[in-house]
Amino acid sequence: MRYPPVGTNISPAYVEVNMSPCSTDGDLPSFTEGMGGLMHTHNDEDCNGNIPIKVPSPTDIKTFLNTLMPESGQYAGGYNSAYSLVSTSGGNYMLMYSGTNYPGSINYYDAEKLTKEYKNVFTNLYTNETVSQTDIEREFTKFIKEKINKPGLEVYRVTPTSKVKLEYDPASPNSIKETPCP
Amino acid sequence: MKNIFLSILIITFVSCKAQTYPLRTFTELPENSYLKDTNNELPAYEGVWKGQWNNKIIYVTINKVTNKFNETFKNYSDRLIARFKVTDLNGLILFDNTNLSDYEVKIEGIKFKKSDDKYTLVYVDRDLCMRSGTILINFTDTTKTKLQWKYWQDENWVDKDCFYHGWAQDQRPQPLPNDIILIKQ
Repeated sequence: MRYPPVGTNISPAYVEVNMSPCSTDGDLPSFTEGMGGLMHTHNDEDCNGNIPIKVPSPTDIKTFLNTLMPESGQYAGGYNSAYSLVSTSGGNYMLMYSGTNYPGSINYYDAEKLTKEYKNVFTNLYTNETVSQTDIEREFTKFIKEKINKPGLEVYRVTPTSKVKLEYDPASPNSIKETPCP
Repeated sequence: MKNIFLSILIITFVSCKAQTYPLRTFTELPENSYLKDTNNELPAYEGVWKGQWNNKIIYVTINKVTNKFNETFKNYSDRLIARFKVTDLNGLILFDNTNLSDYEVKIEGIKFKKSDDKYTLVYVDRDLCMRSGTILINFTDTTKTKLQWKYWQDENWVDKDCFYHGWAQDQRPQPLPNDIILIKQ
């Protein structure tokens, strides 16, 4: 979603970002000004038989921090208006930010390190015979907390009528603390 | 001399403390444990493997590394790492990372899968806009000279800073084959 410049009467507009059939690369728009929100799907299986992870990818997190948040801060009046929603058959997950100050971007070196860590975590998980969505949520929230480590970066599981904040917490059932939104 | 004795003492202490587990361990491991190739299976994968696809030739060099610390899991493991060189049919080099150190390689092993016993590796390429994927390998014959290689590239966003942003899909760099039998050289 593209926000208009602050102070104008223009409504926010949706821009389509298409991936051609059976491709693995999706080009983000060249013109990112005002782009504060992004929604996309992670299918159960792609054309090559690959099984995308049913939570946001490291690139989704990087895009949120490096593009959506700064654009939202400039065009929508605050970082809190940025969002990145990934829709999967295991649930819909949204990244948001609750802080006031910009927590910093992810540079190229960190992006490589984090992508490796993410691949290690989930590939290792998938060496097991069965993997539940709870396992995926636990590893993802742990990754967000311990590896991304940007206080204020939050993950929500959303439905059309509800939103639950997910946090890694070893003391909670399945190590996931769930806080429903009022 | 004092430092040498101290080092030996520390190594001995750590070695005694670290719990060792076989490669096919599918439970969560404690920190500083050692996932060890107890059956000495990994050396069979070592060497140069060659295959041809889409008018390109790939040479995959696989090595075993021993007792390497894994930052993600905070433990040690024996695993495979791989480097590759890709040429066209005339020998022109298209991709080559065979000179990277063990710490810089783009393909690193995880372990065997429980369901089909294939060995899993992950691929992250800093030179191709952080493209990533998963690789599974397994021998197809008892002589262990043919290796089935399957690669699944992850879906990814490509931003405007990437050099192939906007390129047609079939023009984008493709260093790795999806499904191929590699022959040991």
